[in-house]
Amino acid sequence: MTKHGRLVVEDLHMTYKTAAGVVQAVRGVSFTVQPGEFYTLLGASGCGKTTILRCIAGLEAPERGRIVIGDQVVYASTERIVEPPHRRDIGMVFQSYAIWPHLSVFDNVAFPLVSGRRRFARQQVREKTLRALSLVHLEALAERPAPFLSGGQQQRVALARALVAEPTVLLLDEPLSNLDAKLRAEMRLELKNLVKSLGVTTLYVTHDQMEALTMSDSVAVMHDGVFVEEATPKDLYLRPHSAFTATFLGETNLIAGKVVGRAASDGLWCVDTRHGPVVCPRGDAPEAQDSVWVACRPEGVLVSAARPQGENIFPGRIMAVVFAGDQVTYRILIGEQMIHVKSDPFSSLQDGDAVFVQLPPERCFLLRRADQ
Amino acid sequence: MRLYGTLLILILAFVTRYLAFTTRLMHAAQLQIDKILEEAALVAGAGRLGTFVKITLRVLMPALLNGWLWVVAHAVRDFAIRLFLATSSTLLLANLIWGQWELGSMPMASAYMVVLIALVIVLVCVGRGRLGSGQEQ
Repeated sequence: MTKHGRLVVEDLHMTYKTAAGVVQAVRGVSFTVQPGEFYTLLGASGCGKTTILRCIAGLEAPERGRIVIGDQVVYASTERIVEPPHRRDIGMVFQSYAIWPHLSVFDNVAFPLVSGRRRFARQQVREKTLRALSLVHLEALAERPAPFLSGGQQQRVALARALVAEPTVLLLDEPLSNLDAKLRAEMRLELKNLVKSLGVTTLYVTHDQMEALTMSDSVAVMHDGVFVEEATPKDLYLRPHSAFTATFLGETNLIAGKVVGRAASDGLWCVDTRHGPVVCPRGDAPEAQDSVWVACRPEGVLVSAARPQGENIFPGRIMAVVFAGDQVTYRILIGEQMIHVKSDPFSSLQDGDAVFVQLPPERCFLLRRADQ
Repeated sequence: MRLYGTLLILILAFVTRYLAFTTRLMHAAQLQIDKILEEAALVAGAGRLGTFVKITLRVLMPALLNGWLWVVAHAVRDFAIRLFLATSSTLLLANLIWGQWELGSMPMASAYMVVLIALVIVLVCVGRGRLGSGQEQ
């Protein structure tokens, strides 16, 4: 249904001039979204992700850089090309939907076909609009005035409107953040399935890790106007390359250490920490004497009352137990460091128990550490 | 071009008289429109003109009508402007009333007055009705 297109952003810089001074919102960002790919910009508020999206849409003017949508160069500072938003082949869903209150659902969705880049004959407009509405399951509400819709329905209208003209690239600015938790979980799946079935190249902006991990083909973690790391959700979570990503995305236990050298076991390296020696995979090629963090996710750590077999076992004491329904979190004191462990809720360990904590080598990873 | 004694000067005078108020009113109304309604239209492919005509103006319409109604209700009673600028060829209803009253013909003056009030009531009701239905939430 939609044409495939690539989105290329090169060396984008964007600065705001405020009363307080100059703010560098985007500082040299480059990335490519392949045709049909679902690419997410993930970061906290103020990291620059929405600014990048708005620059691609043409709603903000960058300082310098290059943006190519499909075959069209829409922005190039070196060649002084700046296409206005209405000449870019995009569809966009805003965080607050931006549904026009004076039009019906049908007219809202048909607007890009009636007043947009390419005008269509009335019959075609009708067909395309109804088809877009059926994609989001809103055909029955076509004649309803826009103000009489719930939040979730408005969001679907916004989505249908963004897709009706079959754009090269679909831009989404935190579209699910105004929905309640249950609806958000439903829409995550529906949205992903919809864009995947259409094969439309999608750029998604969010601060929600769940959305980023469950929906994306690739995720770029952003901080302070730059990309920190870019990878598939699984690689980003299980094998991050930076301490920032490891602590931003989910929780991580970090144990300071110094690389000693190869361990006896295959492919594993030995790291000296204040709790004792730890073996784990080599990861980002550290050398002997390098300062590193040994990192392990709370859900990767094993805890038991009896001493288990294997590597990386440390004795400790449970200092707190937090039951969260589908999991239980222990805070365990090892030496002088507190380790967080997520375990199954059916275990019977209590506050104050003396336990053994095991960090299975294959679940650990090494991160560079700046020397103190 | 002869200005004095024509309808044009009356129009100019009334516009000048009420422009300050309506400007403030429309400015306040425009501030209330979320910028993203316009941005959504731009991204959907409408140019600046299309966005203004199809979105901005239409969303501002209730405020526009409101302002117009207020001006009409006040302008129809305005005394000073018509006193100075209306002539026999550009006679206004209020002048008729004033004329009759000066002559001492109370019944005629009252009759004209009733017509004036009825006109304003009809205008306001119709205007309110249209606004009301447009603003249902």
